[in-house]
Amino acid sequence: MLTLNSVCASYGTAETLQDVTFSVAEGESVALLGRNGMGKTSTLRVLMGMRSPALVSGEITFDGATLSRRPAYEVARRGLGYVPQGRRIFGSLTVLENLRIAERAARESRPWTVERVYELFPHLRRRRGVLGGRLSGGEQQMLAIGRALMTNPAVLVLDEPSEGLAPAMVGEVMAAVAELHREGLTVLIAEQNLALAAEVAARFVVLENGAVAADTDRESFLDDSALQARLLGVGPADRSPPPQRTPR
Amino acid sequence: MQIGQTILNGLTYSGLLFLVSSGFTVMFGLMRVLNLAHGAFYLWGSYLGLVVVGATGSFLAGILVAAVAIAVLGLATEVALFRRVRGNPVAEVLLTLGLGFVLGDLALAFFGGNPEQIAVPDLIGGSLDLFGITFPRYRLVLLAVAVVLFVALRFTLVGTRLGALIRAGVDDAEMLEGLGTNINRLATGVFVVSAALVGATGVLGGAFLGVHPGGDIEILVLAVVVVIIGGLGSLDGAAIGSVLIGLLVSVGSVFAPEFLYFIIYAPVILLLFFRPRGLLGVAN
Repeated sequence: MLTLNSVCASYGTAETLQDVTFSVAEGESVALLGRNGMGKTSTLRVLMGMRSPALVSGEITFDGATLSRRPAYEVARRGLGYVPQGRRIFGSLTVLENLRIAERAARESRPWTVERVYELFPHLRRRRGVLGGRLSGGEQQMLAIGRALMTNPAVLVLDEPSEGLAPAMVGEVMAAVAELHREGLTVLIAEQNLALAAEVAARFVVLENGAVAADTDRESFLDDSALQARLLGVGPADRSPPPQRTPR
Repeated sequence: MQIGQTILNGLTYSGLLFLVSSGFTVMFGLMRVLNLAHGAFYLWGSYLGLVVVGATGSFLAGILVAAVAIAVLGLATEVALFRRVRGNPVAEVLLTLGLGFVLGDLALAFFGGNPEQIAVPDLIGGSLDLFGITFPRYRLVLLAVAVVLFVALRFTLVGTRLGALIRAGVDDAEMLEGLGTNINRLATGVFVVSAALVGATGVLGGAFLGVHPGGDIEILVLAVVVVIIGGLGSLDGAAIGSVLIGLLVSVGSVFAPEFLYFIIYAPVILLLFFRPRGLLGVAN
């Protein structure tokens, strides 16, 4: 479905991605792991067609069409919904406006609507008239995910959605991502926290110094504490199953 | 009585400043380009209006022709020039400033250096008594046009999806593009509308202040001051900045003409010292 093939990218003369190759199959949930500065955000930015870092070589394809060097708006229109690092909510727009401006024609029978986003994140319904800049970090993250869903994506691309959130909010946000995946949405999530990544992803692609150091299924990676220590600098992760959402 | 006259003069001048600066500030907010050729667009609008009104006798035709012609000029310069240097602030400043000088000199070559005045139609010409003050009717019409434009632009920005897209682009253009909006197309649209607006304003201003070489720089400098005071990218800020500068210019011209520039710029320096983003500017 989505393939990055020998992708190299740079900020000016500084090479940030080296020969990055991996793919995401339809319906799959893949976590992009790695310590700070290893290339997770750069990989997602290159994938989404953002202006920097610049793609130097390699190819990105999605459903058979090339995405390489396509502008970001074309990448989004082809079906990649982006939840950026730091959320990047439009602060001068209300919650409702943030959702509505992202609305794109649906490619599925059950399209995302504002109402459906509110069902996923009831918090947002109560805060629909509030400016995005006045929301809490957790609310902003919910809005960033809801906004990406309003583009009716085939793949949800999330960059460290847990970053800077209170633990309770992290649980709610990650449970929502897991639920979206269970409903059939393809997910590519960059995450630094192994335990959180394990909640939503069945396959891990681990980056080290801008290159793919491991591409493995969740169980194999969680069983290999030496590899975890070498690539992530962490001990064994909590292997408890993903949390279930409380019924509303 | 004199103070009433001075305030009215200031408010009507504020109307003209708002007409010039409204498109300017929205365009900057979205594209992060301070189009220093904006004053030259205004001047060319004035001269085109002068020619068309002189040839047809129709003030409205002058406004329409100037708006369309400057919109086309704006489209051509945005697509052919500005888009190529987007993201390079130094090149953007040099390019827009250089284009402004070139257009200014071309206007001098085509139309000569004599000051001219665009004739105001009888319907909105003459004067009227307002609370005992005899005041030119045309200036009040200009103020009314500015108020109507402010309401229309504000409604567009706050009450429509297009307006929400523009505000989102002002907040974070890259993110908006990442959600599927062609930001170049949106920016070009705003640029063209802004050019049309300032072209039409050139005609309105030419009937108010006259048309003369150097008029482009005079109006550009004041428009820059207005948007800096109001906060770059803020329409409400442009309205407030226009009123402040219009009143300062009017009051300063009457009561302390020798200190006019001090009266205009000292408050700006003070404001920027305490509020570097202007009155309503936001961090980005």
